[in-house]
Amino acid sequence: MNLKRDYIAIALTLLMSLALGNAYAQSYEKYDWEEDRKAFKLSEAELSTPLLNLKRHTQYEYSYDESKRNLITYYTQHNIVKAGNDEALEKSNRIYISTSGVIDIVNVKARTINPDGTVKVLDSNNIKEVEDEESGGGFKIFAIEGAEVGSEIEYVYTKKMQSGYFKREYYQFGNPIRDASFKLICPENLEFDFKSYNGLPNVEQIDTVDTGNTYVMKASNIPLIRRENFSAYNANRMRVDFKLAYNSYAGRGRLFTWSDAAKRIHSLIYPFEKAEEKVLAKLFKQAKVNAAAPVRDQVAAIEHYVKTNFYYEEKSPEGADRISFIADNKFGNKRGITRLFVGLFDQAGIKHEIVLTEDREQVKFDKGFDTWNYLNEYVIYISDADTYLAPYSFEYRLGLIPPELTATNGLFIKSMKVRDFEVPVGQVKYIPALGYKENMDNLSVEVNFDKSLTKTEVNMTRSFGGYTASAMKAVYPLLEDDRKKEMLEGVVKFLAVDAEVEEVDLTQDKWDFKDWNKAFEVSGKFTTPSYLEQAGDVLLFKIGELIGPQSELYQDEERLTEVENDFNRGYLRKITVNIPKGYSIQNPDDLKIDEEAKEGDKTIFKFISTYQIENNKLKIEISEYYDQIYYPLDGFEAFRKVINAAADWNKITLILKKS
Amino acid sequence: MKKRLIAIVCMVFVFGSYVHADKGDDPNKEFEKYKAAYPDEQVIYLKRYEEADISIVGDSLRIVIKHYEEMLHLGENSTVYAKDKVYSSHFSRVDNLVARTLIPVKKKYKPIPVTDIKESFDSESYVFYDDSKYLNFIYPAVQQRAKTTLAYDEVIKDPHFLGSYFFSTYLPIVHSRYSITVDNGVELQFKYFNGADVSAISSEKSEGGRTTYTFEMKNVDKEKYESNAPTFNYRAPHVSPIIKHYTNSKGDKINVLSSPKDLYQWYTSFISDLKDNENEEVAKIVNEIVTDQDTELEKVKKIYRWVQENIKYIAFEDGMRGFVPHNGAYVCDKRYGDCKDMSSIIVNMLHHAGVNAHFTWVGTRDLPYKYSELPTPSVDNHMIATYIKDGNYYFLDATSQYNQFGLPSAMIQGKECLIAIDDDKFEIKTIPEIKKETNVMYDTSSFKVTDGQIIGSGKVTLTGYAKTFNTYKMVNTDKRTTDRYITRLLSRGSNKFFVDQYDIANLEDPTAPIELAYDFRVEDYYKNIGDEIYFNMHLDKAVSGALIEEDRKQPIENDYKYINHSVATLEIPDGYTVKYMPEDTSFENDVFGFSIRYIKEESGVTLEKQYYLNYLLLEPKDFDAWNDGIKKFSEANRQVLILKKKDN
Repeated sequence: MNLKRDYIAIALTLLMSLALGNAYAQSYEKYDWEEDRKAFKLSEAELSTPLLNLKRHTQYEYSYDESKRNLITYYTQHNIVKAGNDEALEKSNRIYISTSGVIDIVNVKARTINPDGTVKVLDSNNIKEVEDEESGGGFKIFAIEGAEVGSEIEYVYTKKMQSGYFKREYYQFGNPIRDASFKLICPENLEFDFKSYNGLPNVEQIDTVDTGNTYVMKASNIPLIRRENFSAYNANRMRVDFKLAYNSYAGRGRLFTWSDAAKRIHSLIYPFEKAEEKVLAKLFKQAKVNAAAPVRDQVAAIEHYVKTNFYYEEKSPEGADRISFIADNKFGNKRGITRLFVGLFDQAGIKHEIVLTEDREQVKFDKGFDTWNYLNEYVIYISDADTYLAPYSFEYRLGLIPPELTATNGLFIKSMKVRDFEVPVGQVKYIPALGYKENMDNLSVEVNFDKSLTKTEVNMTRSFGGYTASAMKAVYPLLEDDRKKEMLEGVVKFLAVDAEVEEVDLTQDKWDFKDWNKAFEVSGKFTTPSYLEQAGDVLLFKIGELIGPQSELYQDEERLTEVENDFNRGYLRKITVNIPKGYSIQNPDDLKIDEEAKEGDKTIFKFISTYQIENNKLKIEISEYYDQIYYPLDGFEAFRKVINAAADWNKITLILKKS
Repeated sequence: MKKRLIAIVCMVFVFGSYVHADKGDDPNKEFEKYKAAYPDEQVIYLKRYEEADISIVGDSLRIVIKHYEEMLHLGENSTVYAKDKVYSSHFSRVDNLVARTLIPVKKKYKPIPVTDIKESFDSESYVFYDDSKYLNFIYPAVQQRAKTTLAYDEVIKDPHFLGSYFFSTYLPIVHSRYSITVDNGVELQFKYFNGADVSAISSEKSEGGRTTYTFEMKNVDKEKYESNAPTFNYRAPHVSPIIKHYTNSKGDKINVLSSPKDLYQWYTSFISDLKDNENEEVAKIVNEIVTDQDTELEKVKKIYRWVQENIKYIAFEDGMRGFVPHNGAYVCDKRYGDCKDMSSIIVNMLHHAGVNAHFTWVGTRDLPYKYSELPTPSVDNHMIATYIKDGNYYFLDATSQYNQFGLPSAMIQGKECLIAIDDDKFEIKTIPEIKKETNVMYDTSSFKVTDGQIIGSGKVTLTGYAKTFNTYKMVNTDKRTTDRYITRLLSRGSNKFFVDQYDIANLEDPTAPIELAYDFRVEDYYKNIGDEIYFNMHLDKAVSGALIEEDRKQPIENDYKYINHSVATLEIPDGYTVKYMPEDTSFENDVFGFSIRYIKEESGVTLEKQYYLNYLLLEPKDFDAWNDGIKKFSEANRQVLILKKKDN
């Protein structure tokens, strides 16, 4: 998912003044590299690792500025990388230092230690700066000088930054790390909480002296992480999350709890200014919602109105969360579009809860660690219809929200009326994934052989539902005619690349909010020679290709992460083959495959194919489904068998001989 | 309509500001008219104008191009066009940008200005650092029936960079117009590409010591996108105005770009003193690499190799640095550089070794131009070094790290290059297209059938560009990436194909072909029914089925011409004999061809198969020939061998 984060955490916490009482300004503890160091001695295994991170140190130092009121952070990154081949060198010789949130860069140094021992130090005149006002920052960039294959590339920088109170550091990458470390230093009145994930050692407090608190983490020989199919890459990387948990000057209570978050978010969404209320009333009128209709239909009508008249713009300027801005400009940022929905629901008197969550492919929302870093994406829960709505994801409609925001936790914020006051109540709850029956991708085909027995004529209908259809439904209306045709032909050619398409049609080509859930159904007629191979007068009929290429997990690679599906899904395929006269199938039983995986008594993944032959008609039915998002690593083989069953079916060849 | 436009143009000159947008048009009428004409389009350009103005100021020229464009939103889903950006750089600075949306209100348009313009660097660029930037903005309130207008001045810093005007774009344009007004004394010439001389209406008008040349096209179709097609410049009609010379206020005639000679003279100023700049460090390295016994050619080979291996490609383009190479000593010290820097160090190192080599400018295949047709900096975008010996030209492009000595890089094949011979002399030479016989993937394998699977081993040899391109894929920071690539490269039978072991030789040695030895397995490939085995010998079905769509309009690009040659032997299982063997076939035309030959021996059946792709650009006229060949090839790939158990 490529959505810009809302960084609610940042937006929220700037409001808090943390320096109550007797804080004093601190100068920062200067971090530096080792002068005149020698190259590292490497083990045999390390020598044969093309790209090796020898050292990765990250340091946060929180300190009060001169005014004694503002907490600032000195952020230090120190890296040493050995580049053992060209590709490794090319991956490590361009350095980008983000200047987002940076007050000042207090130190940047880089050097190369070559295999022959020579050292080349970066000429700081060659550090350039590039602007990126759209993202509110930019980069300091430089190229590593004098490096060759086998060199150690080292750089260290310290940035003086505005402080964040919820942070995350990753410690696992596409290359291994020999020594990883983390250090956080802060004034004594502050206390941080940490949580490590995916096997990274815990951060420990090592020292409490009068002047401050120090926390450290050390890890060695962290293996690289690779992308695996049916797995979330980023969420499986070793990382540490941390937050400011206590400030003794501000009292003894824990800071930034879920309950605090609920209040803050509520205050960002509500209240609507008077002018906004006026605009909302006007827009609500335009939406033409039938007040007598069931809640679900009213919500769908509002959603249709918003999603066809306004759009989400990730690079919105400031103010794009205001209703009047959105009404004038036709676009808004994430919070703005969410507010527009919420405001219209208020107009209609539709009960709802705001849900904040995070893409589970990025990180899993951990209920047990109240960092607001998880609060990045908005979902709206419609309590009366018990369903969800994705406010700014325009390819989804009521009931269907981005799958990466389901099967994970969210902070649900409900507005309770206590006398005349709106009191927000927050609770972390699970956002369930839809079952496979909601996301069916069905196919029916009928095959005839031409007279010469060198080509097949195929009639097909493929019907996409739920998630399998959402992207197509969203994109199709935007395309010009040529592209529409190309897209539909693409559905046909999925079954045979060289298909000569005679006809292709879409059962319906507009999806109003009332029938949004109807399938995207493509029917077509084509001929192709590619299913048939000839061995003299024997026909080899590659019937498996009628279901198109399938995902597979054939390669025997060590599996390291648990199974995680994007969404639950099912496939029902019906195939009818009119066997040419005078021919009979030699190996029909090859068509039977049956694989499944269970959780307790429940079958959660299944592939089964059956057939019957009647009056020279071969009729096949294949049912395949995946009805659970997560499956543990030790069950991987069972999952793999079901996935591969479909890919195996795709390879079935029937032998047809003259009777 | 025309009259009014002229009036507007005059006003622009008088007031220097933009009032093109016709607020007077009835929005409803305008919308209905164009909706009927363009029912499928989300948006169209009503106007796209550029007005260049060149005046003589003292010693030099002042050049400003006024841009104006007006877009009409016809569809309901046009908001993807709400975002826009304008490119601004050292050579063409953007000034006075005014953008706005015109919303229809009753019978008028109500303008809403863009107020928020944000600068950003080009993060997609292959250039690591340059001083150019984008001005990004979002048109407010974009909706069906709205219009957006954009006006800005482009200040051209140097008369060499006047650029070209493209009449078409990826959206339809109702009126596309380019005009250029010059003071008397400025002499222009115009070059036309892709039929612009025929399709654009031109006019010329002189008045008050100035001349205006106008080129316009009405109802211009949009350029369509097709995959693997050459760049936009190959098909979009465009005109390139070139300033040949001008007479300055003192009466001196100043040449700008009247011919390739002028271009060369300007270019040589960028490379002066670079070739023979002496440096201790460079000398030291050269002495380590070459010996007195080496022939000149050996020296060239070694130094080219050293630069390929040791100088990494990183491009900094700061102002004129986009044209001026660093000297050899600098590049040597940094160990990185762009194409110019690599050329510079090659030429300089060779000079240290007593060998004369030449700076050479060239346009990659992305550019369709020749020096004689377009003697401006738009003609090229790349630099290499050239070594000439006894009439043989060696084009040394070190940006292509794994390129074999003697081959130009694949991306400049067939292109003209401009070779700097000395301060005054240059040579324009066409770089050859490398023959398919040089770029070969040759695969020999043998295998047997057991328990439903095929098990075997083989060896692949890769030469020429087939080697260069594959080396990039095989040098990785994670072995798994290489494993997967090898599996894909060797892929055969089906995706139930496994490489159990492999060994790569000569990967980074540019003098020898890659040799890849492998053991493999394919599961569930053949059918064994009763006493017969059905076996398709075409385990590799690459290119089979690759038909070109009938309605395709644009040519198809190929990185290089090549031959794929394989010899695959199936061991006949004990007790079996060959019952049916498919026929041999072959086919040849200019762009594609194949030959398929089955050889039956005592112990096995061998398929010897060869096919070639013999084009860099497959033109539409050749599509039928291609499809014809592919159909025959696919059919041949569907022929199956039968082995039968011998009767006891």
